[in-house]
Amino acid sequence: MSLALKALKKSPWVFHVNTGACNNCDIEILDCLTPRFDVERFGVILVGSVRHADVLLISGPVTQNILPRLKRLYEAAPRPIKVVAFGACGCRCGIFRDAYNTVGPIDKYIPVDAYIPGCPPKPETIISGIVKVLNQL
Amino acid sequence: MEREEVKKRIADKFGSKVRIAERSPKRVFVYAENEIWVELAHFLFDDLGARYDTGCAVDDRDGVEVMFFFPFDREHFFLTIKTFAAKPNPTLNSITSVCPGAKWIEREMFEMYEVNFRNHPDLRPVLRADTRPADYFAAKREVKDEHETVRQRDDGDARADEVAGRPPKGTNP
Amino acid sequence: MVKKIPIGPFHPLLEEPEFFELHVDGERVVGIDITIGWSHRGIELLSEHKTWDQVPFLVERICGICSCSHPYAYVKAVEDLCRIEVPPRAQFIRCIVAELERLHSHLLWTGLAGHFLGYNTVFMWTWRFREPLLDVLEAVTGNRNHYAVMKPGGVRRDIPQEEIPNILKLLDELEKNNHMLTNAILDDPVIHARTKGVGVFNKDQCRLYGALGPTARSAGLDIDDRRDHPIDAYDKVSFNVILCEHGDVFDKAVVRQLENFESIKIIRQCLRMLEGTKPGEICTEIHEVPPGEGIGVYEAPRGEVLHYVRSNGGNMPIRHRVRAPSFNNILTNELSVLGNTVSDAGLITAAVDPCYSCTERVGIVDRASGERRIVTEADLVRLSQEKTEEIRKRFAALKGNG
Repeated sequence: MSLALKALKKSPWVFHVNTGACNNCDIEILDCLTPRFDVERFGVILVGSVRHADVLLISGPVTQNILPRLKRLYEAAPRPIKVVAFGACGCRCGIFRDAYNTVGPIDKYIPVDAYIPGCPPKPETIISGIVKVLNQL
Repeated sequence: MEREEVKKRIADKFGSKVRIAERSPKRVFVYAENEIWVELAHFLFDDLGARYDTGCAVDDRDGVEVMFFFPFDREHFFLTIKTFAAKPNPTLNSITSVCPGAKWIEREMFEMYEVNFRNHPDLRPVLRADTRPADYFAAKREVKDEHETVRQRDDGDARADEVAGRPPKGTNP
Repeated sequence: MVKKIPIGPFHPLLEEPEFFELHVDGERVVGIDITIGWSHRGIELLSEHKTWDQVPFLVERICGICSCSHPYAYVKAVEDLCRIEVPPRAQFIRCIVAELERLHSHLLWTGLAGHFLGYNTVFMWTWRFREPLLDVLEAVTGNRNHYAVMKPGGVRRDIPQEEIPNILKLLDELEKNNHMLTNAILDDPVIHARTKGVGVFNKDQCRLYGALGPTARSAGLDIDDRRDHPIDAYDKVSFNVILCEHGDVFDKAVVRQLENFESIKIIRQCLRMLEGTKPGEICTEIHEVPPGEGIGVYEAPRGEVLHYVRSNGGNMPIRHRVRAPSFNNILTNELSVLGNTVSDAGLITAAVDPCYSCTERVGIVDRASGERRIVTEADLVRLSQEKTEEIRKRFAALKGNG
């Protein structure tokens, strides 16, 4: 394994994207940083810019409004990048499948490496999902 | 000021231009003609002290029913004013001069139902994606059945029967 | 020289996307354009294709934080339409779950605001206090969020008797922690310096804009649907409506902190009254929804949620209007950011506790030169935290000088 990849595996930096989700998934992601779950001890941190990201965590059923920006965001992400579709909406649009303004799911537009289902996924599920993604490297 | 007094003052001021229906002690509906729409909003908001809440539009065969909710908190009831903007080109005066808070909901009614609000400071879509065409009105629908209507049949709205081609309440079909 | 600064649609403090374009003159904000709609999914139109009892599951997912607010207002609208009464036990259960949610929502906001100000400890602590609360909600309703408790006519699940001591124990803990948090916020001079006089939105402006919830109460506008349009158990419990007078960010924080105590009070009263009801009687069956219309309102953590339903006698609503409080509250940013600095703008827009997915992000433009500057998430949080650090140093220096 190259040095870069070793470093990546040790400390994945996660950029979180909300493409029109109800926000519950996003709150559960933030919950992972809090003392009970504390993913920071595994080196996982949430970054403020996509240019620093190793993992793109995307939630939401992709609304028509957000779609161009989502595509641009994916293009701006540095390679290698792992994409994780998060939550029932991220995986398959959830309950918004037939809504007129949702055009997802995410894997229709960008390649997804892992799916974390749940509405919302519990923090334990999230951590398990991220670990599986890292083991793919 | 109690609910009965509120109803009386509206009836006194607007006479035949409004029809007042009380569905329950907490729900009063006032059907108004288009031309007194802003004046009615002003009377409720400024003179009677109601709170501006929000609005709603309902699409129907020959027009769009537009309503605004003005709760009377001290008197513990909701007063809803309704009017009918006839198709084609449903148009109504904007109440943003009375309640600036109505800016966004009128924009939403415009982009969903194509209701044009005269004197709105900035009438353009508020939720619609910029990739959609300008004539995309998401909630507009073609009501084909000539007897179908969303208008409510009640004491305040005889027009609902007229529109639906139903006999007036109390007569035999 | 006016610059325009875009913030969004993926904004640091806000979990959901929205777009603010700030027009600045030097460091002062002189104008703002707000673009929403990023989370617009078309829920009102989707409701028209769901049956009356499927809609609560849909509207629950309008917002994840105020997750039982929308179903609550919706079921009240249906019950208004059908003119039915809900059994007392169901009323108390609804009230308990709703107030537990208010607690979790306010704590969440306090944590995020703390993080933005540079008080990461506050963020970690408040979210840690939330965890036992979410555990209790999971034990009582089956899920940490998206409780699926509300149903037209009553509730779907009863509170098991063995959970009640756990809830009471949790409330005692939370009350203690909330005291500590409230004192910490009220006593800290740096927080005062950062939030007092910042983002003022006064009472008259609140009235004109239809501002709701803590945003309105912080300015002294005395509205609270739990008292003015009481539903279910709210007319059987006693609580205070918290009012402040300045309408700045500090007052918004104070209102939320003190409301936590009121929520704890309400839950305790409801649990006591629950003992007098028969377990199992938690729903009035609705066999038919007649033609007509119904309005349901509920005081959510962010303000009044209003649902309007219209029926033509069928098994689906023909119109369902959802109005979340943030639709009214976000518009208040039009005025409340003016005259403040860029480093405060993010805090001000977050102080109304926006829930964009209930409603549906920041660019900065220099008005004179037309120059555009893009501020990333890290920049905005850093700007704000730097300002706090500056103020802290100044206070420390003053203290040092005696």
